[in-house]
Amino acid sequence: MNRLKKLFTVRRVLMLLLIISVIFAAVSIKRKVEVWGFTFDPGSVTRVWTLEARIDFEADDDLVRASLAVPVSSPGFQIESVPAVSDGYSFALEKDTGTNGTGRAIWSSFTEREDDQRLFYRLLVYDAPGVALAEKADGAVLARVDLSESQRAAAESLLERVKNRGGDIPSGVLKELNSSTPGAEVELLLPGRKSAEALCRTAGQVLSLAGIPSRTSIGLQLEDQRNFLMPELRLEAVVDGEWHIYDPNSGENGLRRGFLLFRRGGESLLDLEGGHDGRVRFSASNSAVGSFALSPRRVLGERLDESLFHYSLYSLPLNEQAAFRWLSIIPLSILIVVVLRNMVGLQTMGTFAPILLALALVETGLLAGLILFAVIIALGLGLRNGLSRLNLLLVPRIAAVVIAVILIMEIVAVLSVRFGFGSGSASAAFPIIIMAWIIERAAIIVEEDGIRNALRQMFMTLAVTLAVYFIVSNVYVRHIMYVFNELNICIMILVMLIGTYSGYRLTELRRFRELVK
Amino acid sequence: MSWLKGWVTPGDLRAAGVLGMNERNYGYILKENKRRNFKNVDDKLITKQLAHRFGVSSPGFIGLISCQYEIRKFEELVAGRNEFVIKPTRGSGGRGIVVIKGRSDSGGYIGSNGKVVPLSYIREHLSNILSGLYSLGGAPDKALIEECVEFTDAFDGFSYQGVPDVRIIVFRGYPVMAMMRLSTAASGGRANLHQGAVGVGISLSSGRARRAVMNGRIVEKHPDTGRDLCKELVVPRWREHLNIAAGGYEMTGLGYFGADIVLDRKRGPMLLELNARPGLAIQIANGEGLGRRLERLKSGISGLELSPAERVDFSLKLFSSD
Ligand SMILES: Nc1ncnc2c1ncn2[C@@H]1O[C@H](COP(=O)(O)OP(=O)(O)O)[C@@H](O)[C@H]1O
Ligand SMILES: [Mg+2]
Repeated sequence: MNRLKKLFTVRRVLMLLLIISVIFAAVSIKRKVEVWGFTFDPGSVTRVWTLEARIDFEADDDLVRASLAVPVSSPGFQIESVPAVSDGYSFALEKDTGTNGTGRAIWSSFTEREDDQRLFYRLLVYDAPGVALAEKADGAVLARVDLSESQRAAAESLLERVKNRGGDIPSGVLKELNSSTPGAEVELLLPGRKSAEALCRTAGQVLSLAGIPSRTSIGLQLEDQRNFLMPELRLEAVVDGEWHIYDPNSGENGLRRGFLLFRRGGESLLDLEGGHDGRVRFSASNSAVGSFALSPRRVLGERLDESLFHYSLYSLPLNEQAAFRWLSIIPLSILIVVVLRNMVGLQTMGTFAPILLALALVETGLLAGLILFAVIIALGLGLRNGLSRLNLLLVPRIAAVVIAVILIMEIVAVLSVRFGFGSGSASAAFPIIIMAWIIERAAIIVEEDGIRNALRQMFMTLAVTLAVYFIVSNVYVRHIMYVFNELNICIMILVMLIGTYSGYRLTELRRFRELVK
Repeated sequence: MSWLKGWVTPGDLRAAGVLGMNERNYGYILKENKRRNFKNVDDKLITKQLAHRFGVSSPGFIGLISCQYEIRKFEELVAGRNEFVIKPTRGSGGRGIVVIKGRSDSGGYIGSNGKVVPLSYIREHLSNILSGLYSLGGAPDKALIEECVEFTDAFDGFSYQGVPDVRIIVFRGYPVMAMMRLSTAASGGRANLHQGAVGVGISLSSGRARRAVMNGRIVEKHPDTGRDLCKELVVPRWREHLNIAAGGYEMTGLGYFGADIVLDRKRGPMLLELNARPGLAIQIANGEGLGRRLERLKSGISGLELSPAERVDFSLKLFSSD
C-alpha cells in the first residue's frame, strides 16, 4: 500500500501526464500540419490559382451539349470548382467517370442555339499541384500497332537498344525519339516535326511492341508569369502494374511542380454535340493567401469527414478568433512568470500584472510603452501620496486611484498627440485596474519598507514584464501558441509540476551564500 | 567568472542544510499544517482565546469592538485603565496598532511616544479598523483591546525605540531555532529584518546571542546604541520562552509555525502572536540552516505524545551544541 503510494506521488503523476500531453500535442500538431495545412511560420502563404477555361464554338442551330474534361480532386492538391453559370445553359459536374481524379463539366442548352457560343469554367487550385497518385493499371489494353514493315523493324531495333541500355523503358524510348542526333530509325518512325502529339503516338506504338500499354493525358503547367496556358500532353505507360507519367518532350518521369492534370487516358478534352469548331483556351492568375487562413477551405476541399475541425477554434469567424489569439498567448506568459517567481525567485507586484503589462507593451510598442508606464505610475504615486494623508478606506482609496489613472491616461493621450509623440490611444492599452494596484502597492511599500524596497520590487516587476514581452511580441511564438493550442495543455501541466518544485530558488543561491562554510 | 562570486551551488546549500522558500512552502507550511488551522493564528482574537484556554501566558484581554455602534462602548471598556493597546485582529506588520501609555488632562490619552491622542482620533481609528483599513485585502475586521506589556529593561540599549521580541520556530511542537529582533533607527523603530532591523540568533540551549546580522551582514554592535550584541545579550527566563512556544502546538494544531514572544517585567514571557508563515531570515541570523535541524527532528522524534516541557527537553538535548 505504502509502496503504491510512493509510486503515485503527485510529482510522478504529473510527470506522466506531462509525457502524455506532449505525445498528444505532437500527434495533434502533426495532424494539423499534414491534414489541415497549418504551418509554424505565420508568414507562410499558399499560392491560390484561379484557372479559367474558355470554350468557344459555333452552334449548329440545334440543342447544344458541351462536355469538358476537368480535374475534380487529386491527392496532394486542392481543387475547388466555382459554379459555372452561363446564360441559357444548365450546368452539371460529373465526377468519377472512370478515370482517376478527373470528371466532366457538362453544359446543356435549354433551347436551340446558333452562332458563336462562349462558355466559362473556373477552378481554384492550391497546394503543390503536380503530385499525382499512382493509378493502378488494371485492365489496361495494348494499343493496336499500326506500323509499316520497315517502321516495325526500326521500332524493334530501337527497343532493343533501349532494353540493352537498361532503366525505364518508356523514358528510354522517349529519349531516343527526342535525340538531338536522330538515327535512321527515328527518321523512319517520326518523319517531320516532333510535336508532342506525334511523339506520344509513336512512343505508344513502340511501347505496344514491347507489350507495354500506354495512353495520353492532358494537363496545364501553372506558372507565375504566364496568363495564357497551352494544354500540354503527357504520355502515360504501365510500369510495374501502375500508370506512370512521362513528358513526351524529354522522357522525364513524373510531373513537374505546378502541373495540373486535366484528364487522364483516352477521353477527349472537349466533346461537342450540336456545335463545331470548338476551342478551349486556358488562362490563369494567382494570388497569395495566408496558409492558415486557407485551412477551412482546405479541409472542406478535401471533403474529409473533419468534424474535429468544425468543432475547433479555427472554424470560428476570423474576427471572433482574434480574441482567442490573445488569450492563447497567456498560458506561455504565465509559465514564464511562474518560473521567474518560483524558480528564479523574483518578487513581482501581483502575479498577473507583468503579463497584462507585457500585453499592453505589445500594443503600444516597447519604448513608447515604457515611457507611458513610467509617466502614469509617477503621476499616480504623486496623487496617491496626497490621498494617503486623507486616511481613506481601502476600496474608496483604490477607486480614487483608478479614476485618477484614467484621467492621467487621457491627459497623456492629449499631450502626446499635441506634441507629436506617437499615437494618442496608446496609453489606453494599459490595464487600468492593474495600474491602480501597482500604484497602491508601491505606495504601501514606500510607506512601510522605504523607497529602496519599493524601487527594487518595481524593477523586478519590470524585468519580468520585459521577459514576458520579448516572448509575447514574437510573431512566431504568438502564431504557434494559437495555431497549435494543444501546447497549452502541456503548459498547464508544466505549471502544476512547478507547483511541486521544492528546490532552491536562484536568488537563494546568493541570499544564503553566507551559510555555506 | 568573477560575477559568479557571491553565488553558491544548490548542492552547497543542501549540504549546509539551508531551508529554501519552496521547500518551506511545500514541505512544511502546506504539508504540516491543515488549512482549517490557519485561522487559529491569522486571527489574533482566536489566538488569544486559545492561549487563555491552554494556559499560555499572553497580554490580558480587555475588550473587543466588532461593529461600528460598539465604538461608543470604548470608554466604558478602558475605564480605570491608563495603559492598553488597540490592534486589528487580522492586521500584520504592526499596522494599525496603537499603544496608549496614559491619560492626558484634557480627557484624551497619551501614546507610547508621549504625544496626546484625542478621543476623537481613537474613535476614528477604531472605525477604520472595523472597515478593514489594516486587514489583508481590505476585509472587514475587529478591534482588539488588550493590556499593555510592560517591557523588561533587560534589553535596554539593545534596541532603538521599539521593543525586542523573540521569534521561535516550532516544528510538530518542538522548538527548532530562535532569534531576537532588535529595531534600529534605519528600521524606523520597527522589528522587521527586511526593513533594516538587527536579527540576533539565540542559542536554544542557553538563550545567549550566537551572532547578529543586519541587512544580511554580520554586526558586532548595535548600530545606534553601540552595545555589544554577542557578548552581552542574554534572554532572561529563556526556558519559559521555549515552553510557551512549544505550547503553541497544542493551541493551534499547526505542525510548523513561528511564535513571537515578548518579556514582561512582572509577568515574564508572554505570547504576542503566532505566525503560520515565518520567514527564512532566522537562518541568516543564526548562521545555520533550518533544514538540517528539521531533518534531525523528523528522524529523532518518537510517536509518543509528550507535554510541551518534555518536547523542549528533547529539543535542548538534540540541539545542545549550538
Ligand atoms: N500588548 C502589547 N503591549 C505592548 N506592545 C505591543 C502589544 N501588542 C503589540 N505590541 C507592539 O506591536 C508590535 C506588533 O504586534 P503584533 O501583535 O506582532 O502584530 P503584527 O501581527 O502586526 O506584527 C509588537 O512588536 C509590539 O512592539
Ligand atoms: Mg508581529
